[in-house]
Amino acid sequence: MATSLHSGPVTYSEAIHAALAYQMEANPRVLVYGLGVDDPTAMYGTLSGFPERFGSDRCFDTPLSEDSLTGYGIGLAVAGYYPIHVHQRTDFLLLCCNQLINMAAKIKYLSNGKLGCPFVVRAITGRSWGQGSQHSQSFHSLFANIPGLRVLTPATPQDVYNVYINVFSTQVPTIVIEHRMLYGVKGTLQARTEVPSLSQIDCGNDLTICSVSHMTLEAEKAVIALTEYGITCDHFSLVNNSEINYEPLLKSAKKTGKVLIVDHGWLNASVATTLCSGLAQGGFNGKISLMGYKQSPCPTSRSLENLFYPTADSILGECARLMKINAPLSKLSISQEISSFKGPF
Amino acid sequence: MSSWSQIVDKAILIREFERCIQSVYWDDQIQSPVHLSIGQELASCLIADNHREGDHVIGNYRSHAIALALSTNYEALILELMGKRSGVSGGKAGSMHLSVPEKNMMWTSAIVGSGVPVACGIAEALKRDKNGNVATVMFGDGSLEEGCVQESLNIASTFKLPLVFILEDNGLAIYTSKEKRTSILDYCAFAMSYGIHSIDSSYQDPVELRSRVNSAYAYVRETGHPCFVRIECCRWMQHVGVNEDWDIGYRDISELQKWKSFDIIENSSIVGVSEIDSRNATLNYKELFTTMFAKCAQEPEPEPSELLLNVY
Repeated sequence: MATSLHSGPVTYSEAIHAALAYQMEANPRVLVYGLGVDDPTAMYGTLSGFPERFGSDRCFDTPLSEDSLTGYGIGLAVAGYYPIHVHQRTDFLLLCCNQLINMAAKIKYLSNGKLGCPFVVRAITGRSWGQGSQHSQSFHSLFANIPGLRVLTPATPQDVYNVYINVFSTQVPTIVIEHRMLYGVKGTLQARTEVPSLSQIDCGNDLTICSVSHMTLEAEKAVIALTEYGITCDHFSLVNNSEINYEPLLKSAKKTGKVLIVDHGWLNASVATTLCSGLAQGGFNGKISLMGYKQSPCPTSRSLENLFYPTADSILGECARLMKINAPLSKLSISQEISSFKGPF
Repeated sequence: MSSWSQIVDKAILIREFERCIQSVYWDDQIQSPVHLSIGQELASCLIADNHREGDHVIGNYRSHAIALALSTNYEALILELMGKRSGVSGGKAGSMHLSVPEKNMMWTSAIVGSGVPVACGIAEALKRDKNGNVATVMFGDGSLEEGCVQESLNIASTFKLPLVFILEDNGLAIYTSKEKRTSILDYCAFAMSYGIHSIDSSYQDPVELRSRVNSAYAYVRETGHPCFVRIECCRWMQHVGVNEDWDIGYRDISELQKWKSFDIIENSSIVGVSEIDSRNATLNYKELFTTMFAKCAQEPEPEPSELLLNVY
């Protein structure tokens, strides 16, 4: 069943709030911590009222020690708690790599299954208003390379809700990459019993698109525009980057014969190229095209930043190339959530 | 609490276990790096002596001593060192990641210092559980140059965690002496600058060492706050591997002679244990482990299917 975007009563940030409040309510051993989680902005509203409702000992601020506070979360997790460590920007996860990769990812294996590590990292990727090269990165591909870590990139309110409602149903250390530009997206929520793997955003017959994170919004604009040319698309949003469910993608790809993958990251050694190889190994031999960040750091200048990311318009252009549309294309404007975004942060 | 006779007995057990590793290592029965605890047995015996049900211990890559001090299942540890299927972690962990699950020594890390932040989290869990339990974390002097250890001192103090920091200060990071690595002259003063109660001690006075380690546990159990214990000691062997390395020129053999004079195994009378008893214990454990290692060497390897088990 396809999920509709931009309709429904609940925003992405409200969906996170609802799911995390459910977790905090259901289990007093669930804790949320990180720099600024209890400040007045409440992490873009996603933790609004948490200290008052659940106690300042369950939603608490910390020293500026991302590395050690990751180990601290791992320690809590192996000793019976369910910690959620929040980072205002994904870029800071690089400070946590030793603990995430050398420690968290190895616990179950090195204990031969005796220990789990139900540790969750919420990382928020920024964009625009000059977020630049160190406040804009999304490291899902980097972390998805590591066995023992689970990397999730939910793009819709429904997906992010089900990610957090089910995030402790296994004891795998999990990194959830949220995107700053997704917080206002609206949708409806339906509780499911597992973390989504791949979410179908739209259904069609002519082209298969698989997108990641905020690129799901951008790609869907192109999908809607393509209907003017009589082209319909199967559009999937990748949620679980670590254990990819290829089945629906392969089925669609074999039906349409053409695939476009739009990643929210650099393409070299990425989940996009992994998807590509997975499709090939699964027997797909049609056309595949990949889009992602340009192979540079993210520039601060808005004019250059607009060139750095795939946009609804550039995605539409790539779809037209794949579909051999010769008619002139209508220009898609910069998405509203990007053009209207103002800082300071 | 144990008698000195029991402490010496445990220290001898550990040393003979390590000596047995030395004797089988060149037969390739243990195909991984080993960081031996010879000369540094006492600290682990004292930690184990203070261990209560529900307490946690976090070691490091040199953790044979603490694992043996806590455990009574020596075969599971030997099998783990040998990478055997019946090892405590199915052979997937080995020497550098040993664990004693029944005593809450969950696993150990080979990345210097990286167990210390995890110990803070475990101590946070113990604080919240309100059962009066404490966590212990063991690390070497090189670890104090790792950012995460300095961060952890701040976290433990700020969050008031029931955590005993045990610094085994042998003055060396592999071959590199402290003078080349740090400008910290006084580790206890450094820990105190974070507001952590700190205690200095040395293998040079085993009776006083024991008293000070015990006082650290008493302090943490009573206050719920962290305590930092520096234990001056000597690494008798090379950093990694089974040999002595006093002949390669970076330290002088006279140092070893000095530390041996304080050793509770070679000179058990300094803690009131007869040297006849300690010699007998040495022979008994040598025989026990020779037999046990030989038996373990015959045990099966992991099944190929186990490679991919317990990843997610």
